[in-house]
Amino acid sequence: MTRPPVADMPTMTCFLDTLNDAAGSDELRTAALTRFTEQGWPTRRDEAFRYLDLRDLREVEWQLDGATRVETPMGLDLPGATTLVFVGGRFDASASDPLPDGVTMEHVESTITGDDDPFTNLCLAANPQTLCIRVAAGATLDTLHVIHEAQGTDLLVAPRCVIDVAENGKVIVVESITLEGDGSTLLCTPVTEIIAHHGAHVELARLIHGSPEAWCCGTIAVDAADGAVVHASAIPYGGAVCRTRLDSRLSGEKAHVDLRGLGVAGDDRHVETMLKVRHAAKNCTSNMIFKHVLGDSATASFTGRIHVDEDAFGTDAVQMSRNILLSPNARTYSRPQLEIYADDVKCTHGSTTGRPDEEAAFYLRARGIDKTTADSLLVWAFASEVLDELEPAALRVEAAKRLMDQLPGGDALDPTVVAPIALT
Amino acid sequence: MSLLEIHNLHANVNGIEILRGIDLTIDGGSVHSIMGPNGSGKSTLAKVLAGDPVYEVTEGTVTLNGVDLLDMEPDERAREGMFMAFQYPVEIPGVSTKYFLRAAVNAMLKHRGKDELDAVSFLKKVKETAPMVDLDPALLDRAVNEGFSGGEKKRAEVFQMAMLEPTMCVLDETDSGLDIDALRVVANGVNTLRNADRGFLVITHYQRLLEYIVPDVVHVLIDGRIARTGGKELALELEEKGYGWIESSCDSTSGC
Repeated sequence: MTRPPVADMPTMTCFLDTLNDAAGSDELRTAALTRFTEQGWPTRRDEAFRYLDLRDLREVEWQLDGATRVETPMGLDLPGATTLVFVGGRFDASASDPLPDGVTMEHVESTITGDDDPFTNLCLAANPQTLCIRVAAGATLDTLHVIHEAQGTDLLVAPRCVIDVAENGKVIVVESITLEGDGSTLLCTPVTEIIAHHGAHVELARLIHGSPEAWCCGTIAVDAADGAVVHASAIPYGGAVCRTRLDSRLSGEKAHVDLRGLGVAGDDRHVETMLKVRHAAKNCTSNMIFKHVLGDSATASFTGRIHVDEDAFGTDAVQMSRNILLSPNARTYSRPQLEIYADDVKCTHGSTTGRPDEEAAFYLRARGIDKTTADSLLVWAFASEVLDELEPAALRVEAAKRLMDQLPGGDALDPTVVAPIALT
Repeated sequence: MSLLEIHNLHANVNGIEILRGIDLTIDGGSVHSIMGPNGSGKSTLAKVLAGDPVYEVTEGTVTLNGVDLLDMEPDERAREGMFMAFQYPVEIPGVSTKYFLRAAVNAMLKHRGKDELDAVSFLKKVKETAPMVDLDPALLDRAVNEGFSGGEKKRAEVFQMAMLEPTMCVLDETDSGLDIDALRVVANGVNTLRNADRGFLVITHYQRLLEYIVPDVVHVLIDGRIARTGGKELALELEEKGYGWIESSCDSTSGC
């Protein structure tokens, strides 16, 4: 496959110099930069970029510095959480809570992200410091709320996080990313790696909101050892393009991963999701569910890959992609990919796309509920399957509130009802 | 002015004419029943009154308390006092029954210029109303109609009717799928709701329901038209002779 060489692009030459200078003698960064340069920008001929045109990104002379905090932060209210603030990918100690034990800023090698994704390579090359969250054996860390904000011109923001949870440890991490492009393109390439050892339990939710010029092309990579449970969710609800790779490997027996997500988009925005589960050990279970709600001319593409190794007997893998189109011009592309090399496995997948259920809408309206509210209620019901699973519980309501803001008539709804709160 | 006035109502579904000129007047305080064979248009009439967008009205007028019903959206009709108990209540996963019902009750109250109910007063009303149809309030913690048995769905419909306090109640084959005990419970619920202002249109295949909900007037719908109207004894006559009796008399007189 031939890609346009990165070094031939005039704007890119300057940018590569900038990256090179920034990387200095750091071998990890220079190696990633070399991979990025050699691979070049993907085109739509690349299978992984069939629905995403990157030409706008190739023309930008990216800046690594100059990010400021945003004007309209996401402002998630998560009581009891430890807040860590990053501006332009750099830790802002003055705006953050003190670092808890086991949480450090370092620069560490990436062990599980793979080296074939250009945005991951860009992140590894550009990232100045990595947030490392290490949970000791049997320990439970308080919920961490990692806030990423960036506002500026032609910014490349490259946050990295490594979550390493020892035997039977537990942690909940929420990443909220807010990007404001100031009228120019902004690119954020967050990469988070989760290494869950024997019996560990990790919850990660990433919420992304960007201005209409912002791109967020990130990765969440997971390695789950025997008996580990990892739930990772992506909730993109803004920005020109939100591309999320959720790439997981079940490497020990009876491990479980849940990859979930909900994308809401209007205008001509694009949401892209690539989920991958590799069953590399026996008796593991995985559950992928990704939903989109699209209005106007928004598009979404979903690729869900289940790979079952030859000796991964007893695998139970479920994959589901569901889409609601609120407008005739909205489009979704769904690609399930199953590669199964073992016998005695259970793999199911499904994909649905449709308008909001008219019969259900009529039922609600026949009870006096107006059309806008009825439609929003149905969309909200659709979304709740993903939102109701988020941790901590306070995040369910917070995520619902922000999604409601994106829906026509959403302000007529009470997002607190999304969470299973009894009306008593 | 009667509560509900239907004149020369014609309606199509998918281009096929189902209702072919219905005339019907219902006064507040009265119970009318519509009987008729399969495919005669009974359920179509119910859905047209409720405003189901699948049906297209091609001719005729319907007024509720003198207001043009056909000009209104389904939700406006409901707020004006029209209620249809569905033959097949729709399951809506993910929507809490309590939330849905509170939104509906408050939409009514707001329309009537009354104060909306807060969570506490809403629950109080639920607790007062549920025993009327022997409904387990725990059902309301589930999603709308989700996993309800056939009987629970029908009881839930009458329960909603009691909560929303409509002026015109249309029951579309509420007896279908009910055993005798459930039938009695549902009928008792409906009878409790009968008052001097409220009108009922009870659609059924069988006379049995009408033993419990005793109608003032019985209409027989055949081929999209009302072929015969009579008192409650007409239902008994139909039970005995079947619909063929009216269909053949229709043919001979060309009256319908």
